Amino acid sequence: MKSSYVSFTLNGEEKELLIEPGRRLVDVLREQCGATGTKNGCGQGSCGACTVHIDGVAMLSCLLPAELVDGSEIVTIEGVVRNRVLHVLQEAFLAQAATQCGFCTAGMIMAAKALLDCDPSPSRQAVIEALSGNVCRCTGYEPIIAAVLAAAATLAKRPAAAAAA
Amino acid sequence: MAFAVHRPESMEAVIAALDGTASVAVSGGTLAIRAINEGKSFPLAIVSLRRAGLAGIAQDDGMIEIGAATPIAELVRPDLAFLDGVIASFGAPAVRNMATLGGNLFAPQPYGDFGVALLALDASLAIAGPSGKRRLPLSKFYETGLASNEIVTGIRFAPPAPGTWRWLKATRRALNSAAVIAVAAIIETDRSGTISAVRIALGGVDSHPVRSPVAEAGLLGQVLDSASATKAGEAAATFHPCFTDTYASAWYRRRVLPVFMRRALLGTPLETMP
Ligand SMILES: Cc1cc2nc3c(=O)[nH]c(=O)nc-3n(C[C@H](O)[C@H](O)[C@H](O)COP(=O)(O)OP(=O)(O)OC[C@H]3O[C@@H](n4cnc5c(N)ncnc54)[C@H](O)[C@@H]3O)c2cc1C
Ligand code: FES
Ligand code: FES
Repeated sequence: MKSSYVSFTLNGEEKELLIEPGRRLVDVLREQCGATGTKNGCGQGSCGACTVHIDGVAMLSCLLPAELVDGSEIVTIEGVVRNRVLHVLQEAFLAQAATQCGFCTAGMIMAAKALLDCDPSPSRQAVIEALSGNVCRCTGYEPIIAAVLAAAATLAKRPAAAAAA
Repeated sequence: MAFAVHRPESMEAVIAALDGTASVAVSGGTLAIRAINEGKSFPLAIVSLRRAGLAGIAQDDGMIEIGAATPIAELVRPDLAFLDGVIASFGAPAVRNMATLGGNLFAPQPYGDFGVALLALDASLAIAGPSGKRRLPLSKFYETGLASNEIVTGIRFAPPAPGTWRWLKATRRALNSAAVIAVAAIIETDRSGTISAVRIALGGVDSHPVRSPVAEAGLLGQVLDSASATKAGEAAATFHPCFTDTYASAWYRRRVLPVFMRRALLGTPLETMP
């Protein structure tokens, strides 16, 4: 049982960490990087609370041994905040009351951001499909769908912000 | 958790790394890592297929060859557009970004949607192991499995002729739900509407995806219509054992199979479904 060094960039910052074999990325992020925004929900791929972006692609950090992201660029919910300014999606979640207990929120926003990154003006159905792997036990989903659509509308009015988002 | 995670950079290195006790190949990991997280699997070593050059899609001689470690999300492309329905009915976006086509062949029912689709496509597998490479029809693979330390490296099939492909999955929820019943088919009709060639594969009816010989025999030479399609579904519902799990009872699966067979084969748009 030999630990090994794994390096990746986390929200733009270089990391080199000694990792126990097979340690899950979600645990490494939370316990070794202090990035506790990403939540450990089911550990089964079923709830989406652990969603992060690996090289621009939304993935479930509970199903990833950290060794497998060696050399990758990882973005978590902490990384969508720029210069202490909330992301349009985060503002929209607040405005639409799309977060209650907040446990699902980081995963929801990372899943929604993956959608808006490739489809900046999605239909309601596209939003529903994009969030179909993310479970929320509080909101009943409607405020979340509304928040994502509102964020898309805001981005459409602010092309510069869309490019920077 | 495992004691070692190997990331071999070639197929040969994967096979060498698997040649140990209690090591497990991990492709997308959506089943293998989940099983470890759940305490249902205790491998000493994980052998990742991610960097072994087993991903990618190629076309030659009119055939399509897909690397076993190709993520489902990468199957979204114009020359595989017929698979869009299978992809849309499969998991959720982050799962599709991780899960691979090769891994799906090992998924226990009622998972294995691509196994069902690939059976209808009469796909064959490229397999590599300590004693070399071989090819195996997918239908045989489900009967025999692999020898120890063998891996699937690729999946090969002919794309269906335009208008012949059918796919329909009955689920508990509209999105991200395992199959109650999955129906995949290739169905060719002649000018009079008579079925001249047919392959039907089913999920949700047996311990692995299967072809349905009774449904195929019942349809061949018949005119494709509501009655013949339903009858083929009824024959299949009697022939295949069906099973009970958290998604549906065996009784329910038998009950909906003829309906979904009919809808799949006739290609009835959802909004006009009776
Ligand atoms: C939330 C969620 C939703 C899902 N929804 C669906 C769904 O709708 N439909 C569906 O069919 N499945 C679904 N699945 C199940 C699973 O994601 C898929 O079946 C997937 O295709 C498995 O592939 P993988 O690459 O992740 O497999 P892995 O977990 O990497 O491997 C699974 C097994 O296959 C073996 N294996 C993998 N690749 C090879 C190879 N090339 N050669 C030899 N052995 C190999 C591994 O050793 C392991 O035992 C879902 C899973 C989750 C978590
Ligand atoms: S914790 Fe990863 S999907 Fe639930
Ligand atoms: S806000 Fe509580 S789970 Fe979504």
